[in-house]
Amino acid sequence: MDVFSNLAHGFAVAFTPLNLLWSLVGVTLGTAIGILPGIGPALTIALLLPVTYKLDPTAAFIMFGGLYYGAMYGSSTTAILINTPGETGSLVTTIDGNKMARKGRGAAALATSAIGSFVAGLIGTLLLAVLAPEVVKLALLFGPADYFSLMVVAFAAVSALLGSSVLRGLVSLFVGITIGLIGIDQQTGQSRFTFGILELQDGLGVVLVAVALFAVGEALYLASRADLRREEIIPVKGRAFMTREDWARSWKPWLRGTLIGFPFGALPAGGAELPTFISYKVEKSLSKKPEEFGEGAIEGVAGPEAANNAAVAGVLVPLLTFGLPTSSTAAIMLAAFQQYGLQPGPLLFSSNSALVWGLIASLLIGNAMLLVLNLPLVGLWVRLLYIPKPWLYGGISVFAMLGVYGINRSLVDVIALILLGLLGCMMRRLDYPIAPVIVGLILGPLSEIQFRRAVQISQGDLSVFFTRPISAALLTIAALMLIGAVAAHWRRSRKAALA
Amino acid sequence: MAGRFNAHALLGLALVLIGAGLFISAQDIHVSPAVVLLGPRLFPSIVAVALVVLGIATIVVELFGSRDAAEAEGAAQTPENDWPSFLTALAGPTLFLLTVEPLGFAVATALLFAAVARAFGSRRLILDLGIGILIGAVILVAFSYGLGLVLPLGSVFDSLLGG
Repeated sequence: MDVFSNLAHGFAVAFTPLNLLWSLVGVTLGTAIGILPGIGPALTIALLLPVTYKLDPTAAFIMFGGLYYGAMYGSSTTAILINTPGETGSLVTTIDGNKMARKGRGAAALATSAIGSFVAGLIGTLLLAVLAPEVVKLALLFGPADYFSLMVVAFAAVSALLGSSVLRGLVSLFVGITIGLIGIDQQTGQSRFTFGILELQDGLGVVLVAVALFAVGEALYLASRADLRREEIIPVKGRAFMTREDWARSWKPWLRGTLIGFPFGALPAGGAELPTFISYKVEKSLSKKPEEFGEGAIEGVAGPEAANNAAVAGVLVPLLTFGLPTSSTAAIMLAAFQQYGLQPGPLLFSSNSALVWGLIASLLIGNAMLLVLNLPLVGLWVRLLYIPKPWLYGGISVFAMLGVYGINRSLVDVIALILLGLLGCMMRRLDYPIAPVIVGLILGPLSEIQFRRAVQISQGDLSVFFTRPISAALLTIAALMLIGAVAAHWRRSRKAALA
Repeated sequence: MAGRFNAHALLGLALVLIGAGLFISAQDIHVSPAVVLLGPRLFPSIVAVALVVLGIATIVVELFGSRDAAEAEGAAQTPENDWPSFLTALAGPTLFLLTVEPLGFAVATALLFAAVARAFGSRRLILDLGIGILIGAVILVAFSYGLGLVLPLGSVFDSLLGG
């Protein structure tokens, strides 16, 4: 079957000593940043972009892929031990995972999360390998109008599913799109919104905006909230270890979590939060002892942890086949592709199959590496948590500044960093989601190009978006998503008002 | 009136203003007659309109929103606003901005690091400055020898040394 020959090809690429090394660097770095609060895979990849520019793209992406997986592994450690998820995907893990740790069962929680993540990563990556070529065939049918409508679906999903309200999601999205407007218009060479400042001709790059919002914004936000800065670390006794009963209770949640997480990762606005919530609900309703949930039920850790790793594999499907990012980390990886002059999509599979299959194969290898890194070495990773917060955030600020200033030595960039950092802080305080800004920033210009191309081809006929079947179907989905989310919100607030 | 004119509504107002401003400045974009519909003005205009609409919606939701929802949100977390720490943290990158060219990357980094560390509770200013200068110096060296990227050494020092 094609899959095996593709994977064999991929393994040949991934198994070179150098690429294995990059995979190791990626997963180690990923675990470390997953454990450290305040820094996530999106931000890390954004910071690494300028530095990896000189690297061979295959090596860089192998590292990024490992990083993404690793971050999911690492963030569960903090969720379980200090009730603080390193990534939103581990939010649900804090519920039962932390309770287990407080009852002295931290080792089992860590073990079930690590092994569950491995199983999910394995199955998810294999699904990716099988499905990607099929999805590519679908992608080949897409014209510019269809791509535009697909991005509209992404916009709708991002606004509808992330954050506490559709309105806020849309606001964040359009803030991102607005920022994306700054710069030279690609199709006519006109400068837009540059206010006569030369440095703004290229627009505000993804690295700058992501670093400003995620790193500086987060640091400023936490600085302004004394109540969020207190926490205690629960010591882990012994290594990650599970009893026979733990295994018996974990394996089905692992599989169910994988099946839930993968498709959600592939959906626009897939991110890992939603599937983990769903997995938790599913496990609770299927459990023979639902009262244990919230008090330390191992299924409540096993399911969601598998879900969030499967979601990462799922995210890679639309990213590689359509060039459509479904999470902010994916959006940054898309920027990375652009940096190398690569366009993910059906063409990438044919023109650069070594990179794509090498990446997929290295994810399988990386997944195994992560299991080894995370099971016996948990105690070591936990040491990272003892870095004093002042130095941690000081260090994050320094690297953020370096990432922005070090490349162009432009003070304009630093000013933009500060202003956008303030924006990020304000958004966090007013409870506006940040991920849609990144998605809007990246997809805004892309959608504009597709829109104008589509209208050019149809020679001014705007109905093309509704007459092409794929486009029409996608726009309908987008509309349904927004209406559905608003309706659900409205129903919830009526229930609350009546209660 | 059940809701209140709070920070959220202020944000909505800001959105309306930005949207309007965007729309007006978009009209300044030079457009050749042949491509009026498709040109570089189209998207900005659409985005501007969207911003205005979203801004109005935000204001409306805040002003006329139900009291229960607003109270629930407020009660969930009573934020302890820590202005001094916030301003100290903000001072970090600001000091970097002001000092990186005259005083060099290492000094600027030291100030950035120490300011943020202090904002997060560290009271050991000298130590933090020292760590900051060390990190800055290491990066300076690594970047110039490793990546060939030269970071500023400080124009003040240049003139002192008879640059």
